[in-house]
Amino acid sequence: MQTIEPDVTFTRESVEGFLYREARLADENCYDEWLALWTDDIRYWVPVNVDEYDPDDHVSIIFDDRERLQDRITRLKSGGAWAQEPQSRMRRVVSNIEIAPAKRADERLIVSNFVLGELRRGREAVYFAQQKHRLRRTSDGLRMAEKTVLLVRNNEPLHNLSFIL
Amino acid sequence: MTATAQPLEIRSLLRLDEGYVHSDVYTSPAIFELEMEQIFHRGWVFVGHDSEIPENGDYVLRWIGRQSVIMNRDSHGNVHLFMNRCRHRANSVCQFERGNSAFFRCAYHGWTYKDNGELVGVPYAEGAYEPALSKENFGLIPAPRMGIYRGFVWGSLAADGPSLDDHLGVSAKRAVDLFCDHSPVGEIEVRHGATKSVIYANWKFQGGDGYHPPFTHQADFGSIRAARQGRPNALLGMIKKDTTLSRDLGNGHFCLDIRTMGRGPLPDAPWAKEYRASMEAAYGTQRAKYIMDSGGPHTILMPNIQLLNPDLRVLRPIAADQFEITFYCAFLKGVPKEVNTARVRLTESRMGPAGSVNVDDVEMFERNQLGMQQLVDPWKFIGRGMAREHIDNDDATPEAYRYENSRAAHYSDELTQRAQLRWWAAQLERA
Repeated sequence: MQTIEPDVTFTRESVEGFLYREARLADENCYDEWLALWTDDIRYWVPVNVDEYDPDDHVSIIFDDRERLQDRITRLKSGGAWAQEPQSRMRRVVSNIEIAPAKRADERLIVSNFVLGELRRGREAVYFAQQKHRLRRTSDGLRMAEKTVLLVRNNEPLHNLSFIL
Repeated sequence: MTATAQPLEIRSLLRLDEGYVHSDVYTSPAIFELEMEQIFHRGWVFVGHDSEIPENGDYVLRWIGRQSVIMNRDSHGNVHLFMNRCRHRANSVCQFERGNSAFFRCAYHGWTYKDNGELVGVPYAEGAYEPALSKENFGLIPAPRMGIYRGFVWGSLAADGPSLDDHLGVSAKRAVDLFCDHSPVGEIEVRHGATKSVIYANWKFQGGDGYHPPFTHQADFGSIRAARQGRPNALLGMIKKDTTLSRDLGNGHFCLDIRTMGRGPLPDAPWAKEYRASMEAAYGTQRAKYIMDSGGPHTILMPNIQLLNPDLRVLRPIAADQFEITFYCAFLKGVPKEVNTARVRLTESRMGPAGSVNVDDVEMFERNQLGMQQLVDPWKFIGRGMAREHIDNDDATPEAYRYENSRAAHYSDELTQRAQLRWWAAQLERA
């Protein structure tokens, strides 16, 4: 049995480093590298209408388990995801980072805000959101077990969110 | 076309006997204004489902064309459609998308209405009006007509015209029946969230096109998963199968008839067995099997509602080159929770701003809108399968869901686009 010796801790520096790296990989459409930031038992959730509800009793913009997220990435890489042909150009700014305890000792809940600017086909869109990450310490470093994106305009009509949010 | 569109010009934009439609039908602001007037501010427009307002006092805010309307249930349980406008100085009296209230109070000068529309409060009225204001003449104005079929509520802003029954016709009602009968008690519930998309294209792009799925949707989650699991692609199956059809259901309504395709067997789980048993008890073994195997009606009802099971899509036109779709997941009443959770997962995997089917539909509609701006050859070709159109009596389908005497063609034929445009022209030319 392998003993996991954590090589990272939940310092502000390591948490910020993870969030910034995740943002950059999403911005640059680095699908595989972004997917590698996740654990296996994941929940990727973008609620709609309101920020909190039972997702088994209410539709969501995105509610992915590992299999659905893998399909989402396979789709984007397939050459047939027309809504990303051409791809979106994006930059997001992550800020207001707060670190809180999670249920598991090897996890922390990270709450932050982001502003995302997206440009595609000459149309620029701006999205404001709060994001909640549940980060886990693993032998490979920090990984996401859960990410929830609370879009400010999640009850308004939205244009395609066919990129990594 | 930039000035006002006259009825005579409408006909000149269609050459349907040769299979052509002029791009102006989809790009002209003048045509759009005429559509608002003749279709959305005159004909029957879907507003909501009465399950959205289950309790007395519940309301939702909706649109009929450009008009904000309140759909509510009053203290006696009656459903109303009110124009969202104070009778005094025309402020909107309801500000929230949904809620519960026994009163609507205009914040501007305090005029207050009961949930049945009756005006009950006019501040400082004494001595202000001569003769005294008769409150009974100043209630909230109801939409001139309202019609309900199996909980689906339509409104019309014209006092006269064809009845909702006439607008729907037998086949459209049977599509609604098939949609609702997936519940053993025959009732759906539309209050479990909705995603909303804005699309920079014309509202008449409503799908119902059996030709596009293998191409446009080659990377939807269903296709990706089928490829990963080594299963055949259902989108190719639909187009190759000789029992799938496109159908004109009359009055502009149409469907992709994939009811013979099957939805795949229910999982081998206790909840699935319980669901099947309750369906068989409610409808009998054969009809229950038909309903569950059919996968639903996949039917589009003009001008603004689509029944795709489990998705209910409701459309709102904004401009010639912009519309919105709200995607509801219709829950079934009287079934195990897992049945509805499976429906939620299916709806959100396909629909909404991150759904794998919708995003590529949006992309194709917007590419289409872009292409139609070119003027060198403004005619679009929608002639596929014109020689294959025939009358079909749908004999193999149980009578309760049969589309009798409908014009049909191959699943992939553009019969549906032509049916929509024939109805459209007739609406715009109506005196």
